[in-house]
Amino acid sequence: MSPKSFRFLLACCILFPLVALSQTGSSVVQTLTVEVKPVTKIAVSGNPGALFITDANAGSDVLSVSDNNSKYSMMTNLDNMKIVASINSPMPTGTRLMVKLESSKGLSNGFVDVSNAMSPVDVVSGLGKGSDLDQAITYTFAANASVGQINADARVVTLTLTD
Amino acid sequence: MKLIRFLLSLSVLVGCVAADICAQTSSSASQTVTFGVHRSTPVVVASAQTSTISVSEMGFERTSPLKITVGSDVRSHVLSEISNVPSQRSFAEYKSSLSAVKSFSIKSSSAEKPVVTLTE
Repeated sequence: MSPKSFRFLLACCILFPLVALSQTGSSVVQTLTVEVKPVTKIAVSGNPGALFITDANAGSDVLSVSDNNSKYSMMTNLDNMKIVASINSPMPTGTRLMVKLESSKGLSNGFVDVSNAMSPVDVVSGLGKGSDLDQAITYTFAANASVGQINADARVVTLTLTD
Repeated sequence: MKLIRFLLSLSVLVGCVAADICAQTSSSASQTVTFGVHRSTPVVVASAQTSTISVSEMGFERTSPLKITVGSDVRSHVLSEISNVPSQRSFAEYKSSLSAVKSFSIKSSSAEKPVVTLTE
């Protein structure tokens, strides 16, 4: 074997393994853990307008005034939810505070008396997964004709979206 | 604006869930409901060149302007036109602060003593 042929064969022996080891692809593996937690949210647009009874309708035993200027929005990823309402302290004797929540996703219970609802009372039921935006809240304040003057007072009504 | 606030609250919730730090099965929102009862009784002020009307009887914030009748000249005025009420205040501002005002005066521009009637 001539020295020239020997060098050629030696070069082939060195380069062949390198060609055999060349990579055209590579992979790694990751495990992703995903979970959707229960999400429940209710928000209100603000406070309703003042409910002042300033005049009587002739022949009426009950005076009332309403406000529907506030709204609520809610969303949940749970089924069988409802909205309940409670008040921080009872209304004065001879007066009533009622609230009605509109609902396009559930069943509104109409006007619900929350005058003494220290424990929550249902106002909307049958809510499932989804959201409901800008639904009207209507408050009605009523006073018996026998009730005298009541200076401006306030109560905090809490709406809770729960199961 | 309301929608933005709601979407913002949703995004906060989504972030909260992604961070695996909370799960909500109930949520609450509160509203303050203001109420009151005022029996509508006209306040009649006796003849006087300067009449002072107590508004303590009026109870609380007005929801509508009061009608003022001076003598036989039947005119409706908003309260901001009456003396002793800061003239720079708009009626809306005055309406919201009336509960804090105990009295105001009505002065006649003529020698005739007016009969002033204040009604709803």
